[in-house]
Formats: sequence, C-alpha cells, structure tokens
Amino acid sequence: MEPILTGLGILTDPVAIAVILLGTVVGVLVGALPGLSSSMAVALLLPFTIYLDPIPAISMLAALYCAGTFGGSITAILINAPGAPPAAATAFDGFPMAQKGEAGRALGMAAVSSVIGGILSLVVMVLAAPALARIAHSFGPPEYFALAIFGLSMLASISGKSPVKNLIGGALGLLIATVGVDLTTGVERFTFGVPQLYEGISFIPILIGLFAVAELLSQADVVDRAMDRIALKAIKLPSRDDFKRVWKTILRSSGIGTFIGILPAEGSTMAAMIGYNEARRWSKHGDKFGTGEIEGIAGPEAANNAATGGSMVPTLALGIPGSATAAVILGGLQIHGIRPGSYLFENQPELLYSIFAAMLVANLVFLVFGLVGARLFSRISLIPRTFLWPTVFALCVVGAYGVNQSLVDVTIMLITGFIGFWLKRYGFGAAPIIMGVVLGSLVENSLAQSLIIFDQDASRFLERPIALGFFLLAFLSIFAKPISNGLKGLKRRRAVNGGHS
Amino acid sequence: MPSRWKDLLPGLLLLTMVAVLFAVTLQFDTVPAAFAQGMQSAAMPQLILVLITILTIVMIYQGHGHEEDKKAPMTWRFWATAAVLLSAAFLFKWLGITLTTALTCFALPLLWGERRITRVAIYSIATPLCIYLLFTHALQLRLPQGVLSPWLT
Amino acid sequence: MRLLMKRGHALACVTTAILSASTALAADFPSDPIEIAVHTSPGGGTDTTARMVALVTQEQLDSNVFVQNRKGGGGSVAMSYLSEQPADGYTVMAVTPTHLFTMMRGNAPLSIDDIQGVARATDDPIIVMVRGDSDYQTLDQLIEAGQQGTIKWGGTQIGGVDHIAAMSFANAADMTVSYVPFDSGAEFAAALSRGDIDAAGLNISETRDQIEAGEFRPLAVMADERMSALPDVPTLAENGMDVSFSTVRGYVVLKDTPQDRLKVLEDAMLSGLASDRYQEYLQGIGLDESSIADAEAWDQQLHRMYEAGEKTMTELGLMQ
Repeated sequence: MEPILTGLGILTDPVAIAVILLGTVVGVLVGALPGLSSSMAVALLLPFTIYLDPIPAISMLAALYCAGTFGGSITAILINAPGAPPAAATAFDGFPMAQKGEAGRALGMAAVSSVIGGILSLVVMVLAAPALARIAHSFGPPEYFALAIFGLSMLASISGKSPVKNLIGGALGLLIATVGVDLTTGVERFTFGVPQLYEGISFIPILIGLFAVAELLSQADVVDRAMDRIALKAIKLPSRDDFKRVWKTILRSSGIGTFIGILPAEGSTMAAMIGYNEARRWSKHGDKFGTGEIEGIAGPEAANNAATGGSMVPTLALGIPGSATAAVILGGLQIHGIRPGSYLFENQPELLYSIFAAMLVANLVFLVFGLVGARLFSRISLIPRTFLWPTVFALCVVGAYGVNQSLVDVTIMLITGFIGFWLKRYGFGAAPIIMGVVLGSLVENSLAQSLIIFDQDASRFLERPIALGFFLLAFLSIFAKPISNGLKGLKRRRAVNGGHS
Repeated sequence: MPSRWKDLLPGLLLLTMVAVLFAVTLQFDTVPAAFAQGMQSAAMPQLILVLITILTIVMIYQGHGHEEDKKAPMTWRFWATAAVLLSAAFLFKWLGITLTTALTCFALPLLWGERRITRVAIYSIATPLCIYLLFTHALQLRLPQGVLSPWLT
Repeated sequence: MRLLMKRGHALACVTTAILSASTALAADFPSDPIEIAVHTSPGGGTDTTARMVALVTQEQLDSNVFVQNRKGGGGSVAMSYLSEQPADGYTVMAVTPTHLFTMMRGNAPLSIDDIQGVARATDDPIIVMVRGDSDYQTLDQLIEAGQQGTIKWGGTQIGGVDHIAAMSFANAADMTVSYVPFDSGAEFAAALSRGDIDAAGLNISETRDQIEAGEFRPLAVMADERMSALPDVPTLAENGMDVSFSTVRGYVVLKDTPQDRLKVLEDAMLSGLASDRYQEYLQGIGLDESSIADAEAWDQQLHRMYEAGEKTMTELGLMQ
C-alpha cells in the first residue's frame, strides 16, 4: 500500500502535474498531425527530460504516449488522415460519420472509448504486471508467427467489400512489407537502387497516401456538388443510447488491446485493427461497417489506448519494449539511470505507481480535452472543401517528410495516394492493405526465425501450446461462419424433410 | 472491351504488375546456402505474387457476367488536381517544402472553383507559414527549403 | 553541374586551407549551428546518444549543435550527405560499425580514408553469452559443443556487426553456428532466456541485470582487455582468438577539415562527454568513462575495425 501512496504522491507535486499536462497537450497535438507520431515526439523531447527529476520526466513521456494515441483519431475522423498509425482503423467509420455531419458524435465516442480502454488497461497493469510480463516473455518467434496468421485470417472479412478483393489488398500489403533488406539473408529486395528503400518503406507515408491523398483526389470531383451545412448536428456529442450500444464493444476491445499491447513489439496498430474486426464480427450491424457505424469507432479506439497501457508492462517489467514508443520511453528510463526489469518492481515500486498515476491523469485530462475539443474540432468539417483539402495536403507533405526526414517518403506518399484512389474506384478497401503491411515483416521474419530454431522442422510448431491456440483461433475465424451456416442449412433441410414425411 | 466482364481492367493491370515484379525477384542476389538456412530472399515475395495471381484470376472469374459498377465520372478537375500534385512532387527538391506547398495552396482552391482571389492569396501564404513556424520552431524539425534555404532555416 | 560543384568544393577547400593558417578563423569557429547527421530514425540508441552528445557539446560552444536524421542505405544516405558538404567542420556524422560494413560492400560514397574521427561516445564490447542454467560453464565447453554439433546463435540482421562478430568467432574457434537474426537486442536476449537459442552476442548495457541475477552467464568478451564491469570474464584474445567487436558510437568529420577546427570540435566534445550529465547517461545505459576516446584513439579503432571486418567478410564470401 505504501508504495502506491508514495507513487500517487506525484499528484501533489506541482512540477510533475505541470509536465504531465504539458505532455498530454503536446501528445494530443502531435498525435493529431499526420506523420508526427508519439514515438517521434517522445524521441525529440527525450534529451530535454534530463533537466527534470526522473519521476516527472518519465511521467511526462508516458502522458505524451497516452495522449498521442488518442490525438490520432481526431484527424482520422475529420479529414480521413489518421494522425498516427493506430488511428487508421478509426478512420474506416469515423470519416463516413463526419461526412454525414456527425463529427461531434464520432469524436465524443472516440474520446470516451479511448479513456475507458486506457484506464481499464492501467487497472489490469497495476494488479497483474508481473504475471502479465511472464506471458509476454513466453512469446517467441513461433508464437508471433501464429499470432500473425491469426491476424491474416481476418483479412477476407475485414471490410464489407468483396472477400477476394480484401485478400488481394492484404497480399499487396504483404508485398509492400517485403521491400528493403531481408532480415534473414541481408539481400536487398525491390529497392531499385534507391538507398532510402534499403531499410524498407515506412508505414506512415503509406498510411497518409492511402487515406488522405486518395481522399483528396476523390474530393476533386465532388466540389461541384452542393454541400449540406448541418452545423448543429455536427457538434452534437454521442447520446446515452450510443453508449448502451457500444459498452460491450468497448470492454471487448479493452481486453484485446491490453493483451496485444503486452506482447513485445506488437503495437497499438494491430490492436486497433483486431479491435475493429471483432467489433464488426459481433455487431448486429456488421454489414454496415465502413459506412459510419459508431461501434466501428469504439472498437479500435478502446483497443489502441488499452494497448498503450499494456505495452508499458513488458517495458517496465522486462526491459523489452512493448511498442515503438515504449522503446523510446525505455531509452528515457536509461537516461535517468533507471534500469527496468524485475529489479524495478522489487526496489522502486513507487516509480512504477507514479507512471501509472501519470498515465491515469493523462487519460482524464484528454477526456475533458476530447469532449470539449470534440465540439471545437468538429467545426473543422465545416470549413469549405476548397480550403480544407489543400491544407490537408500541406500537412500530409510535412508529415510524410517528418518520419525519416526524407523527400523519398513524400514521393512514396503521393504514389500510394494515386494507387489508393484507383484501387478504391475498383472496390478495394484500405483496411486489408494496412493489415497486410502491419503483419508483413512479422509473418516472414517469425517464420524464418522459427524454422531455424526448429532445425527446419515445421512440425515442431505443435510443441508450442500458445502457438497452437492461435492457429486454432485463426481456423475458427475463417471457418466458424461457413460451418455454422452449413449446420443451419442442414437443420433447415432436415426440418423441411421431416415436415414432408 | 466486353462490358460483361466486371473487374477485367484492374485484374489485367494486377497481372501485369505481378509479371514485372516476378521478373524483378529473379534478379535478387542469392546468398550462400549456409546463410539462407532454408529460405532464400526471393521465396516470400514470389509466394505472395503467386497468391495475388490466383486471387486475381478468381476475381476476374467472379466478375464474369456482371456489369461494371457505376463509378463517379472523372472530370477535368480530377486530372488538373492530379497534375498539380505530380508537379509538386518534382518541385519539392528545388523550391523546398514551404514554397511548393504555398503554390499548391494557391493553385488548388482556384482549380476547385474558389473565386475570391485575395482570400486564396492570403490563405496560400498563411498556411505554409504557420506550418513552417510550427514544425521548424516549435517542434525543432527542419524542413528542406530548396531555393529558400538561405532565408528559412 | 556536378563538375562545377566539385570544382567549387575544391576551391573552397583551398581557400579554407589558406585561411586556416591564420588563427583568426579558429577563433571564429563555430559561428553557425553544427549539425550531427544520424543514420537512424529518432528514438534508437544511436539517435539518443547523438542527442545527448549534441546537448553536452552545445554547452561548451557558442553555437547550437543539432541532430538531423538522415536515414537509409545502412548509413549511405548520411554518408552521401556528408560527402556533399564542405569540409568546414560544421557537419559531423555519427559513425557505428554499420557505416564501416556499408563502406566495405562498396555501397557508400565515402571510404574509410575520407573521414577523420573526432571523439567516441560509447564503446560496448560484444559478450559471448549463454543462459545461466546452460550446460556450457566455460568458453571451451561452448566451442567443443559447436565443433561437434551446431550452436544456435542470436543477433541482429545478416551482414551487421553482430553477424560478422558471430561468424568471426565461429571461424576462429572452428565451430558451426546457425545464426538466427532478430530485429533488436531485446528480442534475442528474450529468445536466449526462453531457450529458443543457445548463445548470443550481447552487450553489457542490455544484460547487466540478467548477469547479476545469474540468468545469463557471460563466457568471454570480444575485446582486447577485460571489462571493468566483468573482471572475471576472459577475453577472446586471451583464448588465442584475434576477434574484437564492439558496438561503438563515435563522431567523424571529413578528412580535409582544417586541423584547428577539428581541435575545437574535439575539445568541446571531450569536455561535454566528461560532464556529469553525460557520465550519468553512460551509467544509465550500463557503461563507464572508458567508453570515451579522443580523436586519435577513435580514428585508430575505426581503421582497425575496418580491416578486421574486411578480412572476415572476404572469408565469409559476403564481399564480391
């Protein structure tokens, strides 16, 4: 109990509170700007935290991390340009809602489900961090391969479009992920002599291209049409009925997000995609997903914020980063002479609780920020298109450039934008492509690593129970529906036959 | 082109892309077998390409006998917008990000039917300037400024 | 155009060479911000170290020192950037073993003779590590097992410093290694403790706690001298193997940079690195002041590592 109180003592320190607030505000801002992600903001701020005491310093970074994940959803909903990769899935239904004039409802839902997901994952983390860390630790290449296969099993059903087109999109995503130097052979693939492609294509330019640039191109043809001015509706917040409808989705996604977050190196993006897909699978309105369903916002938003809490578990308990941003925060711990690991849990539990407290405060701050802001931000969707979209373009250019500070990424963004526009015209969605890119290198690398570990004997996957579990889930994910449909059909036929005899 | 073959055009384009990329994979370096350890670098991309081929053929087959979906017409505005974006891609290197985005912020609203030219002019200067101040001075991220680099750092 | 630039460049070199003879110029240097070009994205160890170095060096100078990420091509993007800049000391490049391997493969616009070391900020030798409960109590037992069977060894990507180090060791000890590449040190450290791999080349900065807890057992250090943190662990050199690899991070400028400017930079960096703030950072990442080296020692180490790496890569058939 005492370390908890000492940890919460941070909340009485005005300096700590000030830097947590600062971190939250910077986080929402940076998260909302396409291209500037929370991991980059944390990296840029890192050296300056040396001027602070360790606890406020780490608290600020943790708060920034939480807030950055939420911030991404603002631009995802308003302009179809996810400010950060985890918000990609939020755009699928968020942007259609904004176009229907329900930006405020979507933003409000994003804020509330983010906060619930974030806080639930923090509670789980405080109660069970060491036990969860053991789960994280047991995930090796074979388990990751199985997890990736489970992720791929969702491809066909991830958007309402034709399953075969979803699969083609997913395969294109996997193909994009093969660009660059192959981890297991060190050979360059599809680099065409461009050194910037050597380390692979960054995810963010692809994301901005597929969403924002493709949208800009389709907007070019609709400017002529009359635009509905539904100002009052736009800033309306979600209603009680909305929350009744989504609470199950939020709880489910919080669980998924926490779990995926705990796994080292798997981040919020995958959590959000799985959260979205499960929301769709269990919803009564599953077939309407992609046209502006409110569950399609609650699902990914609860999951991606739960993943931020989850990813701190292996980071703090094992010193293995749970996500790209957590990796940078790990660097921050080291700068301050704090060594993560079991040592931290035994000797400095108060630090741990301070970090939890900071993340909790960050969650509450952006709840207020998000709900008040929802009314404010939703007005962005009322800006005339002729000015809105050129601004989006300018932000996209800077965002794509910012990731690696390379103009090659800006070109990649434009090319993907054109391809994305064209694919959309022919009924291909962005969701499976994103999923393919996210899983691409994981599938290949974990398979290659597993095979070396297993001495090229694939049957030894059977020795790994967790991997088997995921293979089974993948199997169910693909075949549960056809089987249950088949059984239903069989029953019906029997009933019909029975009636005749 | 037969009209009762839905998705024939994207299908054929995908197949062409697959063929080209497959040829590229044949040019990949190989490493001594001792390092490849069962998987050469071209294996995965080739597997994916074969997969795309099969799926594309299925897609074309499924589309047989269906009319092409109705699509929004592509107007001259789309082509003009595309041209602006493409020329921007070439201008970034010489004119720098701030100046080029100022040009696109000027050209796009006019193309899209905005008539109040003073508004557009003010807008096209203010937007890149705000972005420049935010990124370079608040976030410490230096943007390439091309010909403007002596003045904007 | 290219020719013109080159000529301009040469002209600039001549002028600076003449001017640098007068001491007035050294007093003026630096009058503009100094850039440290880093070959990774923000966030990794190399980037964070560079940002720390920029911060502590800046405190010694009147000018700003800032980090610019120039990612790509295993350092070749940063190297071509450096090669296009005038040799005036305003552009400094962070160098890691990655840059040396890229040079060896001929993928870089610079050669080892085009750069001049300024200072080294970290030196983290690679340690041959096995699990605490493993059967291999000594280096000899590991080598014996590797001569009779195969050792599964974890490291980062093929062709990187971990791989070359592992293969050099395997060659020298005449053992068979099956190399499992991972994305990061944390990943193969976890794989080692799970038992997915038998051994790995790890740095002390990544494993100090596990060594103390007995979870990992260090068998040998790939360095010429024993590490002060691990006084009981022998070096490979003691075992008759000339294999020395280390995760080094240092800074270089172009070779033609005037001597007095180099001196200004070196002094500023060294006093910055000696500051409490940087020492605290070093301790935080598990290293000590032996990490820091001056221009001469660092330049020599760069050349030595280059030659050793070239030899191994040729033997392994990784170089055409």
